[in-house]
Amino acid sequence: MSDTAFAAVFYLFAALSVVPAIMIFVGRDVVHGAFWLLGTLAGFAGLYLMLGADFLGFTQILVYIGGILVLLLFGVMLTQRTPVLLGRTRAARAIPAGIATVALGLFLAKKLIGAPGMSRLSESLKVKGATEPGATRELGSLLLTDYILPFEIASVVLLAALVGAAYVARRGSGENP
Amino acid sequence: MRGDNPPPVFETYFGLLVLLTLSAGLAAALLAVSAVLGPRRHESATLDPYECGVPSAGDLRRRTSVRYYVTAVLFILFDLEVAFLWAWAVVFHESPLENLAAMGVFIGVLGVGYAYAWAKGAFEWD
Repeated sequence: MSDTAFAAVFYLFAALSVVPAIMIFVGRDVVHGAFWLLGTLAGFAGLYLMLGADFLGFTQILVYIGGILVLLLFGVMLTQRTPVLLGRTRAARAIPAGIATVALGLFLAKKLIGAPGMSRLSESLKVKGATEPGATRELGSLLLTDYILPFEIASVVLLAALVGAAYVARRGSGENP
Repeated sequence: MRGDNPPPVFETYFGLLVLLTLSAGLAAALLAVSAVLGPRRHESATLDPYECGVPSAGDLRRRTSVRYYVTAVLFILFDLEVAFLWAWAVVFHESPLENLAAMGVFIGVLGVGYAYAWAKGAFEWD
């Protein structure tokens, strides 16, 4: 595997992130948009993995693609009116929005490329690889030693959400309590 | 990136990349072959139920009962839990007893919520 292959895979994932994102805004069907989002999220997961952020990458797949996207589709199924087409954006709005987007993109790209951290990142990718998979291991041991309290508190947060969901469920079917 | 020194990320995920490429390629190839070779005849019988099917009724895009949403939320919560379980499982062997206890508390707290949801009937349809 050479530089070229690395670059090729990078551009593949980059395209996978950007093209569906554009399709979401161009398309008018909410459900199609949700499925396009799958591509964007997957592309980002690939980019995370290429940067050696294995936990982030796989959590992205597990939680965002596996969970949030399903929730989103559920949301559409539960609320949609037929037909589920969004109104087309008028050119009067699309043109200023497009200009603002491009300007913001250029600004961010300029800042990112010039940032001192970027050269360090590419250096570390070159030498030992931030790509050395092991973020999960480090995260796991930190969670179970130094950050054991936040780890356990996270379960309390999830508990609160569970209880909330159960409460809403009960009230939702309030006809026969 | 030096050409003679492959980035380690490729060694780790090369199999995954091959799998993704093959499955995407296979899906695309099957769709393409079907589109090219498949016969296109639209007759009155084309959309009829085949053999043991039943005629479809109603609109495809109707609203679904909001109760599914609770199921979805519960799913997300346990999906998130898996992320924690994963990080935990990777380092479990480093000190098994302590880690077991730590995850025991974590799961225990969630278990309370699970029991509560169960008792409140979040898993029941009626």
